[in-house]
Amino acid sequence: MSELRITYTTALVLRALDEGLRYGFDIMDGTGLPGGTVYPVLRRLEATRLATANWEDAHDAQRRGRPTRRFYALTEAGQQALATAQDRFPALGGIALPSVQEVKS
Amino acid sequence: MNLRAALVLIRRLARLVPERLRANWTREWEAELRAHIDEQGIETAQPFRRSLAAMADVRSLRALAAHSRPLPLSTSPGDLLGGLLKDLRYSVRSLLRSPGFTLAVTAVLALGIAANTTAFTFADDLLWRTLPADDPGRLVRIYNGYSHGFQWGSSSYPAFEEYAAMEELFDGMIGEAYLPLAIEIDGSAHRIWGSMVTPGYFELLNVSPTRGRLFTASEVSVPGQAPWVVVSEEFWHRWLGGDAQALGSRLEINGFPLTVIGVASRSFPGTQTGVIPEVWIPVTMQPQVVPGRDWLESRRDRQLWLIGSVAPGVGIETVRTELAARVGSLKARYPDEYESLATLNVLPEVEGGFHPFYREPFAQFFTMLMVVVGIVLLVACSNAAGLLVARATVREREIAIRRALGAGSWRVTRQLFVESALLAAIAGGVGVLLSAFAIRFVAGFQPPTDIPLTFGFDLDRRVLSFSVLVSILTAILFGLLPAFRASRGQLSEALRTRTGADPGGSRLRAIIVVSQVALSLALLISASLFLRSLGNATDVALGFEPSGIQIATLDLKPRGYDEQSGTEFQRQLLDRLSEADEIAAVALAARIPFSLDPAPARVAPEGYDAAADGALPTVEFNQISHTYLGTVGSKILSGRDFTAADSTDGRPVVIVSKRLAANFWPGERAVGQRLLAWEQTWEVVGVAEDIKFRTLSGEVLPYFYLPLSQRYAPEVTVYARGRPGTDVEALLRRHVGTLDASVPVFGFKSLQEQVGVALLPARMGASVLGFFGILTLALAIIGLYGVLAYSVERRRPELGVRMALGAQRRDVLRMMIGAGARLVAVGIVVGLALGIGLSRLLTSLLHGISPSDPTSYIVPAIALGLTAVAASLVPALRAAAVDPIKALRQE
Repeated sequence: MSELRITYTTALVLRALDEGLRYGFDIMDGTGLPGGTVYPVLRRLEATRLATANWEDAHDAQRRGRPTRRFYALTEAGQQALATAQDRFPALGGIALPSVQEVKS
Repeated sequence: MNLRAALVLIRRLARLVPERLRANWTREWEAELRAHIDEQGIETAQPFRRSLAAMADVRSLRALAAHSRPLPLSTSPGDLLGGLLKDLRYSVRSLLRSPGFTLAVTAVLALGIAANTTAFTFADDLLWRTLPADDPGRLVRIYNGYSHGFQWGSSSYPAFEEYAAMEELFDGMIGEAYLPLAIEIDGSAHRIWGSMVTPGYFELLNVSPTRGRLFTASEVSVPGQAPWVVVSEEFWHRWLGGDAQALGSRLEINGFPLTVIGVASRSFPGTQTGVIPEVWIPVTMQPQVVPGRDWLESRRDRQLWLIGSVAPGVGIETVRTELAARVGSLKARYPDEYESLATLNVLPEVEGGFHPFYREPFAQFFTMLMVVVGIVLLVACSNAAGLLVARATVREREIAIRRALGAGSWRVTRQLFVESALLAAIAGGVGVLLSAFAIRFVAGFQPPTDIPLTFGFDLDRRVLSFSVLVSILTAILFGLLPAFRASRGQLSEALRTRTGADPGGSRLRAIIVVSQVALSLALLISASLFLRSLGNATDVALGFEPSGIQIATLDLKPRGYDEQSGTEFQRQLLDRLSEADEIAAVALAARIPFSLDPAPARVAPEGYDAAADGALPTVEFNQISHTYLGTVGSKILSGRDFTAADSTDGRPVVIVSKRLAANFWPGERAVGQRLLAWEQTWEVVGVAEDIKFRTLSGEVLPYFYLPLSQRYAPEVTVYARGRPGTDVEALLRRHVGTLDASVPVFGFKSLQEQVGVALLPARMGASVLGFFGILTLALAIIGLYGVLAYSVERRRPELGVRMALGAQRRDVLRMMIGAGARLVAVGIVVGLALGIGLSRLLTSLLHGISPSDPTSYIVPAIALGLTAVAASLVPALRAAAVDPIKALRQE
C-alpha cells in the first residue's frame, strides 16, 4: 500500500466524504473542485484504502436517468488521515459543505 | 466509443432532460464519463456504458423529452392531470407518426362496430321493439287460430268488444285495421294506406299530436258521429303542404268528406312493425268510409288486429286459459261464423307485435346476419390486435429507452393505456358515424310493395356500447402488450435486440391470421351458396313469360263501385285498351305473382267427403280476363282457354293447373270435371301449365283460374305488353281517366321487377354475405401480408446468412411462400369446418341447393388460397432480394 501525500485538495475530499457526500459529482458540487481533480483523488483514496468504493446498481441508475455512480465511504484509516489533515489545514473545518440531502434522484 | 463522441452524445441527450435538471444532469454525466475514461478506460466501465448505450439509442429524442422527468414529480393530483394531458399529447403524436397503422386499426375497428350496430339496430327495431304504452310489458296480441292451419288471423269488431269487456283480464284493448284508401286532392285521385282504429287507440299507446288534437274514446264510440281523420306528419307535409291551415279542412277519403283534426307525432311508430299508416280514422266511421260492408256488426268480417293490455297482476297464462274457454262459448253461440276457429293465440307484444307470419323469415335472416356481423367484429378485433401486436414488438425498444431514461413502469403503462384508449375512441367515433350513415342508407330501402313501409330506426345504444366496449378492450389489451413485456424485466434485452427470434409475438400473430382466414372463408362459402342459389332461382321455369309486360293496379272499391258497375268498368277498360294501337296484348287479373299477401280459397273436387278425407284443402287462385293466359304466355295443356263468352251469364268455369288436376283427379282427364268452391260448382274447361307464384323454390303448388267476370274482384291489375316505345303508364292513366278520373291507379312496374321480389331473400343474402365476406377477406389478406412482411424484416440477417452459405433466391422464395401457405392451409381447414356450421343456418334461405354443395366450398377455398399466395409473394420477393452482405453488416 503506497503512502498518500495529503494535499489540501485531498483533505477537502476527505472532509466531504466525512460529511456524507458519497460520489464524485456530489463532491464536485459540495467542494467546488473540478471533476478532473475530484475523481483522481477519489481513485487514489480507494487505492490507498482510505476509502472503500462500490458501483451502485446499474438498473437503479438507468431508471433514474443518470450515470452509474460509484459510492465512496471513509475507512478507519481514512478517518485518521482526515484528523491528521485537519491539524494541518485548520481552515478546513470552516468550509461550509451543503447538507447531505439527496436532491437529484 | 471515444470521449469526444460520448460528450457530444451527452450534450444531445441533455436536450431531452427537463430544463431545470439539465445543467446538473449534463455535468454529472460529463464528470463521471471523464473520470471513467481518464482513469479506467471506458471499456471497463460496464454499468456506465450500458446506461449510455441505452440512451444513445433514442430514436425520437424530442418526443421522449416530456417523459424523461423523474417519476416522483408527478404524483400529486394536479400533476397527475397534467401528466395525463401530456400522455394524451404524446399519444396523438405517436399515432400521427404511424398514420398507416392508425388508419388501419381505426378503419378495421370502425367497420366492425358499424356492421354490428347497424345489424342489431334493425333486428332490435324489427324483432324486439316495444310500443309506447304505460307498461309495454303488459301488452299482448290476440290472433285467431284456425283448424285449417293458419294461426295468425285477425278479429271482428263484435269479438273485439267482447274481449274488451273482459275487465278481469284486460284494463285496455284496441284494434286496428289497415286498408288502402282513395283520397282526392286537387282533383286527382291517389291511393294511400290508412288505419281504422277502435276507440281508445291513441290513449292506450300514449300518442301525442304535433298539431291539432287526436280523437278520444268517448268522442268516437258512437258509429257515424265522428267524421274525423288524424294524419301522419309524413302525410301532412306531402299532401297538405305542411300548412297549419289544413287543420279543420275537409279531406275526401273514399269519396266521403272527413275533417282533419290533428297530426300525429312522428315518434309514434305505428303498431305494425315497419308500417306507418298515413291516416287514422275511427273504425266507427266504417259504414261511411267503407260503404257496403258491415265490420261493426258482422262476426265474419274480421278486419281488426287486436292488442290487449293485460290487467296488472294477471298472468299471460290466465289470459290464454280464459280466452281458450271463450272459444267454446263463441262456437256455441255462433256455430256458422266460428266453424273453423280453433283457438285464440295470445302472444306477448315482443313476440307477436311483428305479425308472426312475416316475422319468421325476418328472424331467420337476422339470425344469420347477426352471426355474420359477429364474425366481422371478431375479425376486426383480431385484425386490430394483430396490428397492435406488430407495433408492440417495434415499440418494445422505445419503451425500454423510456424506462432507461427514468420513466417508471406505471408511467409507461399509463401512457400506452392512454394511447390505446385514444385509438379505440377514434375508432368508436368513426364507427358511430358509419352506422348512422348505414342505417339511414338501409332504412331508405323500399321493398317492392306499395304499402308505405317506414322504418324509424334509431341507433341502438346498447349494441353500440357493446361493440365499442369490445373494440376498446381489444385496443387496450393488445396495446398494453409492450408494457407487460417490458415489465417482465427484459429491458436490456429489448434494447439490444433489433432482430432475431420473437417466438411469442409471432405465434400470436399466426393464430390471428389463421382465424381470420378461417372466418373469411366461412363467410365466402355462405356467400357463394347464396350466389349459386340465386343462379338456380333465375333459371327456374316460371310457367309464364314476364319480360316486356308492364303492370299497374286500380282499386274500384273505395270509389263505391259495386259488383255490377265494377264489372262493367273493368270490361270497358279492357275493351278500350285492347283497341289501342300501342298495346300488343292486355289483360286484367285480380292477383300479382309473388305478391306478399297469400289469399287461398278452400276448394274440393265434386264428391269430396270432408269426413273421410279431412278438411278442404286451400288452394291459391286468380280471377282473370279471358286474355290473361295469352298475354302472360302461360300455355293451355288440354281443354280450352277462357273466352269472352265465359261471363256473368255463362255457366261457372275454371281452368286448373296441371298439379291441381293431378291432385284432384289422378289418372283421370280433368277437363269436364267439377270443382267445389264458394259453395258453388265450377266446371273445369282447361288445364294450364304449372306456375310459380309464391316462391321460386320448393315444390310446385296447385293453382286455378276463374273468369274475372264470374267472380268479381274490385282491385285488379292491368297486364299490358306495349309495342316498342309506348309509354304504357301514360296510356293507362289516360284510359282510366276517361272512364272515371277519381279511380286511383298505382303500383306501376314491370312484371320482371315483380318477379324479382321472389329473388329478394337470395339477393340480399348474397349481397350481405358477399360484402362482409370480401371485407373479411381483405382484412385477412392484410393481416397475412403484415405477418410475412414483418417476419422478412426480422429474419433479414438470418436470410443473409443462409444466402451467404449458398441458399439460392429460389429457396428463399419457396421458404417464405411456404410459411404463408402453411398459415393459410390451416386457416382453410378451420374455415371449411366453420362454413359447414354456418351453412346450417342458411338452409331455409337457399333455393334448390344443398347447404353442403361442394362447389360452394371448393371455389372460395381455392380463390382464397390463391389470393393468399399472391399476398405472400410481395414479402417473399423482398426476402429473396436480400443482399447477404448488407444483411450481415446490419448484424
